[in-house]
Amino acid sequence: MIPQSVQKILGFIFLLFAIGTTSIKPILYIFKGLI
Amino acid sequence: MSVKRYNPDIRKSTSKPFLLYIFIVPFLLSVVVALFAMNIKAFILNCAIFLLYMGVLYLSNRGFKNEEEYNKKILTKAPKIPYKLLSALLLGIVVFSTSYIISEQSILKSSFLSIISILGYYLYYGFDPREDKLPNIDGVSQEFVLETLQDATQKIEFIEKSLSGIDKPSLKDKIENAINTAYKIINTIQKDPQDIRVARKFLIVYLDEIKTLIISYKDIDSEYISEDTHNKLEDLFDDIQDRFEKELIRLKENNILDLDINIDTLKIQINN
Repeated sequence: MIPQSVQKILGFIFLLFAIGTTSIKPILYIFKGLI
Repeated sequence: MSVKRYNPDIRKSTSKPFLLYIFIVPFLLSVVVALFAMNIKAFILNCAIFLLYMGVLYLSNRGFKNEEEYNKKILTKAPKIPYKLLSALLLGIVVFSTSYIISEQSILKSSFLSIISILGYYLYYGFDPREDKLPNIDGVSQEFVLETLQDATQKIEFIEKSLSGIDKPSLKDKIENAINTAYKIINTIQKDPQDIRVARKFLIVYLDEIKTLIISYKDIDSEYISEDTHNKLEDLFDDIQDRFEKELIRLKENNILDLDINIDTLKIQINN
């Protein structure tokens, strides 16, 4: 059984990775277009 | 004096989907940037993704609210609709769509990110509670226990709400005391639902009659109620308070009796 604090940290990293990598890229693409 | 509900076991859930609110920023930024870049296709796609993400937030909030209610109550059923699970699945769809359509990643990569986001949601927030918090009592159905207690709580809440229409402070105080004791009784029954048999009269008869009395009192303009009637009412609520306190003592004594029986049973078993 994984302790709850470890679960939270893992969950945070997973969410940050999944949402971060998918949502930042499009912004950067469009920014590039703007510049 | 104000009525303070006696409910010492309430666990306040502090978890709210704050992290999800932070993650909405990039989605919102994408919409704004696409608009300023006059990239219509990107704007429409980002708007759609943003709206789906809002759906994730909405479902999450519903899920958290249900979970909070579930944690607050000693006896309750598990939420019928698994909002948190639905929210996690929708988040997976949002991440997949963003990755595959907007970031133009491969299906494999997008699916991987989608699964990671669902797993992240599960690890960080957990899913909905599944188990009913209902006791097993011989001869009484779980639904009956839950319905009777919910019904009684609603009646007490109705009486509590009606207090605002009562002008006489001394009468109001007495009703408030009775309400407070009534909540204590409900709390004691919730802790040991076997007591539902013992307290049936309180749960069904007394509360119903007090509710009816309060309704009829409120129907009459207070100016037309004589001092004599007010005094009668106050005396009645003194009696009700006494009755409720006796009921509470009876329930506690019943719990002590249960404990004594359990001690004796264990003693016999050990000695044998």
